[in-house]
Parts: sequence; C-alpha cells; structure tokens
Amino acid sequence: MNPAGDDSATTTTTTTTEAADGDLQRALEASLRDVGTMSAQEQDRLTIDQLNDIVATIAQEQPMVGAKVGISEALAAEYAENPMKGFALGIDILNAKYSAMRRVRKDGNCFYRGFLYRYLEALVLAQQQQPTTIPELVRIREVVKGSKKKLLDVGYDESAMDMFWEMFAELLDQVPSLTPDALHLKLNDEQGVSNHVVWFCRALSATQIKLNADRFAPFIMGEDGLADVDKFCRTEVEPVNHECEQVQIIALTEMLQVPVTIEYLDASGHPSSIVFPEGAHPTVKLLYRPGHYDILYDTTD
Amino acid sequence: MAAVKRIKADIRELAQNPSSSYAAAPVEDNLFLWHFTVRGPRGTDFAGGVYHGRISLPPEYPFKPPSIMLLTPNGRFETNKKICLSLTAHHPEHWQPAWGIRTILEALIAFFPTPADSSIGALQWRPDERSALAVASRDWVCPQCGPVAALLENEKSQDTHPTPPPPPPPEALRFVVREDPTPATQPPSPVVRPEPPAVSAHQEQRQRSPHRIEDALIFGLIIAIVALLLKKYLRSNSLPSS
Repeated sequence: MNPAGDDSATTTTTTTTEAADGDLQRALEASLRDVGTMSAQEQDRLTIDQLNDIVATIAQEQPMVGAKVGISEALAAEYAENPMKGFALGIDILNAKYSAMRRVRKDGNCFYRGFLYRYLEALVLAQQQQPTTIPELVRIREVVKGSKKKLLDVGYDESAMDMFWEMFAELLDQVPSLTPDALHLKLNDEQGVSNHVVWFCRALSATQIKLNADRFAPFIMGEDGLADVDKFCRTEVEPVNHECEQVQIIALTEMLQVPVTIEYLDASGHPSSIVFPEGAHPTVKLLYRPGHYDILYDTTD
Repeated sequence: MAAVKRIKADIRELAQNPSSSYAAAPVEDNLFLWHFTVRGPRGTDFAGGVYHGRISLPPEYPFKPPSIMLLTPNGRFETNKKICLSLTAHHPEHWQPAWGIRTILEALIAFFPTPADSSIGALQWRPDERSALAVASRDWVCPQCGPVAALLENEKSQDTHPTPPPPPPPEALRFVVREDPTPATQPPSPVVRPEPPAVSAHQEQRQRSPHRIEDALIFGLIIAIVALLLKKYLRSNSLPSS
C-alpha cells in the first residue's frame, strides 16, 4: 500500500481539498526541492508555514465528516475525466455493493476519524433500539478504561494524556443519550472533542505497537533495515495529521477489538476488500483510494 | 475550552513534580503567555547560568506547539527572537499533543550545549564569553517576575524530578530561531542588564559565519572518494589484468 498516493497528476503546490492527504507530504517535499539554497532552518520554517496553510484551507473548505451521499453521485464526477477507466468500473462495482458513503476531511487524520465516526454512529444506532446498555458499549467502555494503564506503561505522561482519555470516556458515556444527528454535530465541532478523540486513537494505536514491539517490528523496518518502534510511533503514528498505514490500522483494531473492512479502489477496475483482522465481520467499512479514506455504508445499513 | 483545561493540567503537573533545573508559570492572568527559567546544564559553558524567557502557547495547544523566546543574554540563542519547534528535512517529525511545557523546557536545556548551526539567531560565542554571561545571568531581573535566580528551587533541595522522564531524543525536537512577527507586548527591559562581552571584529566575522559541520563532512567525504579512486587507479595499473 502506498499511502502517499501515486496520483501523479496532482500538483504539489496546490492547496485545494481535491488533492489527497498525500499532498501534505508532497508539499513538504516540493518546498524542500524549491529551496535548495536555503538553510535547513529556513526550509523548515517555510515547510511548516506551508503545511499549516494547507491544513487551514482544508479545514475551511471541508467538514470533518460530510453528509451521507450515494457512491456514484459522490465519485462518478470525480473520475469522469480520469484516463484510467478502471476507476469508473470500480465505482460501478462499489455502487452495487454499498448504499452510501461519507467523505472524511483530507487532513491526514481520515482513517482515524472515519473509523471512529462510523464505529460511534453504529453504537448510537444500536443503543437507540435497546432499553438497556448494549453489551458492545459495556465492552468498549471497559477497553478504554483499561487503556489508561497501558498508555502510562509505555511512557505517556499522565497529565498530558488525562484530557484525551477523559474526553473519550465521556463521549462513550454520552452514547445512550445521543442521536446520530447529535453525534454528527459533535464530531464536526472544530472546538469540541472531535480532534481530541481522533488523536487519542493515534495514542491507542502507538501504545499497541509499543506493547507488541516484537510482533510489529518486522513491519516497520526502516531503510536501514532496523526497526525502531519508538521512533516509528514518534514519526508515523503520534504526530497530528500524519497519515495512517496498515500497521497503525492493525494496531488500532487490535487495541479496541473493533474490526474494519477496507475497500481498495484503484485503477485496476476490481476493487478489493481486506478485513482487519481476517475472518471478522466488521460494521465499520472504509473506502480507500490512493492517499485517502472515506466511510462506506452497506446496502443493509 | 480544551486548551485552558490542558494548560491547567500542565500547571498542576509542574507544581506536583518540581525540578531544580527549570520552572515556568503563566504571566499574571494570561494562561497562554508564560515565563520560564532554566538552569544552564552542568559541565557546559552555561553551567551556573540561569536563563529566563517567554513561552507563547497557541490557541490550538496542545495540537500545535508552544514557541519560546530567550530574554537573558546567553551566547547560544539570540534574545527576543522566537524559537520554534521544527520538523527538518531529514527528520520530518511533528509536534505531538502528548508533549507539554515540561518537554519543551527539557529539550531547550538539552539544546543549549549543542553546536549552533547556521540558522538565524543561533549564536556560537566563545566558551569564556558564554561563561561570563552565565555568571552575569544570575543577577538578571525580569520586570514581571523579579530576580530570576530566585525563581528556581535550590539545586541542593529535594528534587522530585531529578531524572526527567525520557527526554525527547535530540532529533525529535529541533529548535529553530525565527523572527517574531509579533513583537513582545512588553519589550523586556531588565533592571540589571549585563554588558555583552566585548566583541572583536574577528568574533563578529565568526558569528556571521558559524561552524559548518556539513562542510567538514562533505570535505571528508570528498577526500575519502578521491582516496578510493586513487587506490583503484593504482591497483588497475599495478596488477596485470586477468
């Protein structure tokens, strides 16, 4: 999987939201190419400014999670001019298999955000139909409660993490009183808990990787052939807005014990789906296109 | 507001686990503007020094990093210029919300003895100049906080944070000095301002073109390549080809 995307037609200097999350990385690289004569520090400053600009523009133009829209309706126009006809074929297949999708903001958090939104939405819907607390809500509360010790065990600072942990736990406590619409507003509130609970998922993912370093090490080997788990988490998991790869997905689904299906749409014309972990029957389904994740809804949802 | 909640948590945590190496607190009632004091690291040119500065927290804290500014002349960082956390070309690592004021101060202290690079605002003063400033810094008085040496706990006192939690590795947090687009609301006017050491024309020159480790490395690399080529050339000439 290439999370940075291979959409070579996309320019590197654009700030448009049409570009994938991978553009953050590309913008970074481009700004470094353009300013070869500057000192590393000046380059850094420009890179940070540019990155901040891109994120700010995206935040203005796109909600964190969009409204439910039909698959073809959402995607057909986007790929109408694409010379690779495989995309259009793939969209037709997905359109028959899924009823709708929600676009997730392209700010590098799309996997975590989409995963969490869909999971909580399903939780709210299931709870609405039951007079007593549903077992899944009981279970996930216990998992989150137990996660605090794990986070501290791998070295997170309690005073820094408490707020994230509490916000996540409070959100779960609110599930019985929430409607899907209320949840939607909550998770789209720029000043609210949304970014906190999304970042908490990063911390959970990093914690699972650190706690199982031996098992994850072979998948995070660097170019030098060494696997530095702490460094991987520091550079690829914990930073705000850093894109998600399969390792992080596996870690998060393990930590929360919440499976996910990912449909990969590319130019091949044959979308392929992968279930994490294999053999599970996830409610949460995400659409992956090079560089970006959105939420998918089954025809039965 | 989430940022306020987190800042209050930072205040509590710093109070619960005080360090004799640094202290920080919000200035008056603005939680987003702090002043800090750090002790110059032992065994360096800055040993014995007490350096005071400002921390500005962005409204998005802790999702965006604080920036800091030194107010006490120190010979390592220019004063009154913003020092930002940075990602670098080779280490595209970003700030993360699990870090806080303590992380920043510990990283700053660790950063003091590192060689000043070519960035604007980094100073590579002579050891004796830095030592002189370190001595002078103890008498520095902040208009808002008072004599800065009194702001740190006695080094001999019980230190509940003698060995801080694993400090961020040097490459994780990089400080970059940048011009502050918004000048300090209250330009620092220390009551006791130590005279900067006399700076000769030669030193001025040196400051403008500080050490370039990269240059030395590249030079070394070129020498090595030339040596290898020479060796290969000699061998190909001295040995009969097979």
